[in-house]
Amino acid sequence: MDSMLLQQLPQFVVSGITNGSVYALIALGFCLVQNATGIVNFAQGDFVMLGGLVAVTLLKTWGLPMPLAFVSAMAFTALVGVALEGGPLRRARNREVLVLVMITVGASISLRGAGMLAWGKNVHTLPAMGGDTPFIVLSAAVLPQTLWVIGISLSVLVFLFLFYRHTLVGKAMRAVADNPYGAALVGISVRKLVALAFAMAGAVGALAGVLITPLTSMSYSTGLMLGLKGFAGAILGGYGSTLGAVVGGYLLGLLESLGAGFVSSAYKDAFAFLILLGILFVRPAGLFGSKRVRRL
Amino acid sequence: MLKLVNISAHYGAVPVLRRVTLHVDEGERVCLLGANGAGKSTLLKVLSGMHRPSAGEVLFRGTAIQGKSPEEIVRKGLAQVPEARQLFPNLTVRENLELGGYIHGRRKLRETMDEMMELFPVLRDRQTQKAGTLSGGEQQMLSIARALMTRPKLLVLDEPSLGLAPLIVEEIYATLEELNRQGTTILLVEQNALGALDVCHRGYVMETGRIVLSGTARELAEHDEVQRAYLGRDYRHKWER
Amino acid sequence: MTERLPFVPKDWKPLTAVAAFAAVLPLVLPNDYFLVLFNIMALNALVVLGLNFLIGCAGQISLGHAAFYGLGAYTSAIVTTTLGWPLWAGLAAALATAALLGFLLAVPTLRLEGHYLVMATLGFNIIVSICLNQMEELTGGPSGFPGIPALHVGPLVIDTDRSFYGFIWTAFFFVFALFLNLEESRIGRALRAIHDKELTARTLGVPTHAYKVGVFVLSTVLAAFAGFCYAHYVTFISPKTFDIFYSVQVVTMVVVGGMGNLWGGLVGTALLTSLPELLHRFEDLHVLIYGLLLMGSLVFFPNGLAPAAATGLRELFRRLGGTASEKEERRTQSGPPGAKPARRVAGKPISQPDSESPPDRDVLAVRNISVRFGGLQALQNVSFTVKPGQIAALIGPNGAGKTTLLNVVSGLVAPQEGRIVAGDRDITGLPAHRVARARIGRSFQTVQMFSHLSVLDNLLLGFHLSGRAGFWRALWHTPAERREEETLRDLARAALRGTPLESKEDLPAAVLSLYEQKVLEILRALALEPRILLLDEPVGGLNPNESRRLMDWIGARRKDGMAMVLVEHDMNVVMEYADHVVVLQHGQVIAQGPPRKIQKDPKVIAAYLGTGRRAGRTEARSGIEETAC
Repeated sequence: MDSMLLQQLPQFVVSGITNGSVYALIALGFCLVQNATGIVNFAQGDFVMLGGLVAVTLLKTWGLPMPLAFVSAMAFTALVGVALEGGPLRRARNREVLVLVMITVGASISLRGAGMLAWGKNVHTLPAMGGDTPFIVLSAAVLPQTLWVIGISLSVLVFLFLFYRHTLVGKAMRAVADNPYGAALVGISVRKLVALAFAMAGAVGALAGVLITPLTSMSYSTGLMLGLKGFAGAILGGYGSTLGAVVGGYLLGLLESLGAGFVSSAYKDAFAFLILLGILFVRPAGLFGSKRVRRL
Repeated sequence: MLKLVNISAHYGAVPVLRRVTLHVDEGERVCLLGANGAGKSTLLKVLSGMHRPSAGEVLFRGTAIQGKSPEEIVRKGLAQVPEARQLFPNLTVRENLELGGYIHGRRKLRETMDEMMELFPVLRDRQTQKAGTLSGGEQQMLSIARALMTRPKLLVLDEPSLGLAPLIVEEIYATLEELNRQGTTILLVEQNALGALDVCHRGYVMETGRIVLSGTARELAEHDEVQRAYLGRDYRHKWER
Repeated sequence: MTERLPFVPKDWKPLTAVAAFAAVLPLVLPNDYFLVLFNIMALNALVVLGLNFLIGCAGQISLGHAAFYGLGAYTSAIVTTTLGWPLWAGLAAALATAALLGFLLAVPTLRLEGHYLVMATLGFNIIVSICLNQMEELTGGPSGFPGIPALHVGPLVIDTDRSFYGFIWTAFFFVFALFLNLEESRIGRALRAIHDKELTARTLGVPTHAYKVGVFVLSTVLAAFAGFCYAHYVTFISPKTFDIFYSVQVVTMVVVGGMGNLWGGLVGTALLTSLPELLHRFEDLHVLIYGLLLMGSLVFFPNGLAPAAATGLRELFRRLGGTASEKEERRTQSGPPGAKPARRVAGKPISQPDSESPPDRDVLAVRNISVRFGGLQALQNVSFTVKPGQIAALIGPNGAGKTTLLNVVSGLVAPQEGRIVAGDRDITGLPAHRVARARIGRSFQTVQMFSHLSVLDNLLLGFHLSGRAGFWRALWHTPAERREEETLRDLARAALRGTPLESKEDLPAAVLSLYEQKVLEILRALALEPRILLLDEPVGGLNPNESRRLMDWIGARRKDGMAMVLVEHDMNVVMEYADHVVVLQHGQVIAQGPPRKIQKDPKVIAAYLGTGRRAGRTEARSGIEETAC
């Protein structure tokens, strides 16, 4: 083993965990929608793009303070999520999963188109949280932003776990995913819960965008690849599993970073998807996926 | 308590219910009999707010509920145990029950849940098991318990005996009688005429979307038409014995 | 007639019309720019054709067809340009590469339930894109691959937009005709059945996994062919053309045009290929408009634009003359399902030679079967045998394992221990479609109809094993294949004769009453000429009159030596029809024997029939009622 490369290991790990946190958040967004509606929301990556770019505008053009700009960006994207659900998805005449998924593909293209009109084709960036002075951990330079990214995504995970397992609304959300007809019969408003899931997916996606923009910058088309990575992470962990999504996201970030460092940086993006293929062939339920009980 | 006046319903252009009129008084056990395709299930969808009738009125405790959302109807005290049970198979038994009490939030959740476990002791043993792993009879009990968690004034059941072993059907019918004694009005929709008439005070018979007969359980059980169409050989055997 | 001619598809009239239109088109086009557009359209249409077949018929989506398109283009470019081999070698290499990779991708993913193929193809596409960009010495990297030789057919060189137009549209219509043929065949019918209800198709003898893999590989080969044509048409290719966005585009074309509707796919391709050109004047707005149009068409015309128009017309037609048939349906619902079981027209089944076992031999022997699902012991050491012409009833409380046992026999569940022997063949662990081949048919607890298909098509699926024409012959509509199809239809019609379904062969199965559906499901199982028929609660949901009629009808088949295994809750039916009763509880056999004996067995009574408490309670309750009256 090359000693130069070995010395860089901590640096690879740090950057892997940082990217992984963002992938985990995006994967969580996929999970939220999947669990409430059973569909893959291909516009999730564009929520990430919207979050980052709206925050850029609010901060730089409108001059809002940073926390306010970030929260507003999340709220705005949550509204976009609700609009996607309340508009095209609810009005669709055919409720087949395949059609609904294709509608989200349409939404993704529309959002990308709108993003291009609003922010142009240029790359935008945000100032890093906590300044630009790195501190050294093992031989790795760690930016304060990195810690923010990791800390925030972990707290979102904990929040969601508590939400699903210990609140009535969270349980109702799982019930809606399991059997919407049965849920309606006990007086659960399926519409409100699905709308809530989309709002949460929008907010979580936007948060991912806000967190990653200072690190890798953002343009109208960045959402596609980020969305796909998050999706890969979600599958890696076991699709629909909240814990799986987070672990899958982190794992993907790490493997990608190590692969880029030790094998070839040119194929960095390919690693994520090679891992995805490997998982599908070897263990299709994902690392944490359990077989769901099926209704007959 | 429940009064249907001239309810008609269509699927597309096909009429499924034609001017159905019936009533259920407080404290009664009433059954609605009919063969497959008679329109029973559509009638229940009208009652639960899943299907909007094309004409007529559904009065529940004095207010019209036709066209209201399922949620509003449950809140008014009309709960349904649907055909095929419609549980949440990937949620635990306990969670299924909790969600039955969704409209009441955390209020008295624990007490109502304890009552249910009292009523169906088998559910207490299976609390942490996923609902989808229960046997058919247990699932039916869970479905009834979940509906009861809404604390209904009127409980409507759609073919609770379907696909269950006779012993379990007996158990479930006995529970219904017990619930009724405790004050829940019951509307039982069944194809299994003999069993249902055994449990209920009064009954209606539906055929091709119409109510064709009504009367006390005994009147119906002895009515030639009912014997022929719904009791069939079962009844003949009884006589020949 | 034209139907008897080889190669000519059923839709030959519209096909000829569209082909004629395409032939005239270049004469009226103002300039060559439009020719380029139409050439690209034909290439897209080829990719869409294969993809549409995959999505519509097999129910699988691929988000990776751009990769196969690209593989076709690059493989041939490398073979013909870098290696300098002839054009045909390039074509062969392109098709072989796509077929091989498609096969490798499809075999593991299509074995799984759910939409794993989408994810696998998506990942595959991205990997291929990255490789095309990074393997610069081989592909030229992001700056592209120049200098690819033009196409030629014999001495005829195709190097102008106009000549390529002629070439590519001829090729397209040729392939289109082949696919129309395939759709209109025994294989096509089986594929639609797979889309609808895969397990049911399997129990009718359709090797679903092989068919799905076949269709996927076929679609990848078609995409690679399009890629080959593209590379030698534009002579310069770059990775940008083959990224994930193109995959999304072709899927969009399928969805907008109408999934599973080959004509619709053509319409979708024409619309969406022209759309960006029309939208170019809006410059930056065009992405947004494209997205909004896609969403809009999906929301309002979810079955595609082409079928939407067709459905509109049909709906109008139905409103004019529909209510009468509804009444008729109600009336015939109570008709008998046929006094006599239908006889074979040809007298002898087409495939499967009849190996009659002597009447005293067991036609089915279940030996010490055990099944565990995770921690749950579903069946434990279950054994019983059935003789020809016997009905064995499986009874027991819910959850006793009755349906699981049927699933084991029909090959849907593999047992951990024990053997299943049908006649003299050990069928333990065989997949369901091979079990069907051993002439074991079944019905399901909830009726499994292919609800989009007509009554006749549903029944024809039962005759799937009676035909033998495969993909190749179906594509070409060979005379033998046509004759076979007609024989199958005659067989199916003969089976319907005398049943309440006789006049309904063209109705979709979804509109039948439950009783009619049950009759159809059993007829479909009988089409296998089963030695053993497995019936899972055949009278569940029927009223007593209907159940008697149904059981009398099936019971009559015992005379022909067919054995049956009956799972049933209705004790009247069990006691009246069964020759042998097996009682299961908690996955174990607690008693078996003739019905009279079982009825008196105290163990069985306690577990299943109840203890007669009900009779006592009835007395008590009628007392209450008298006061209530």
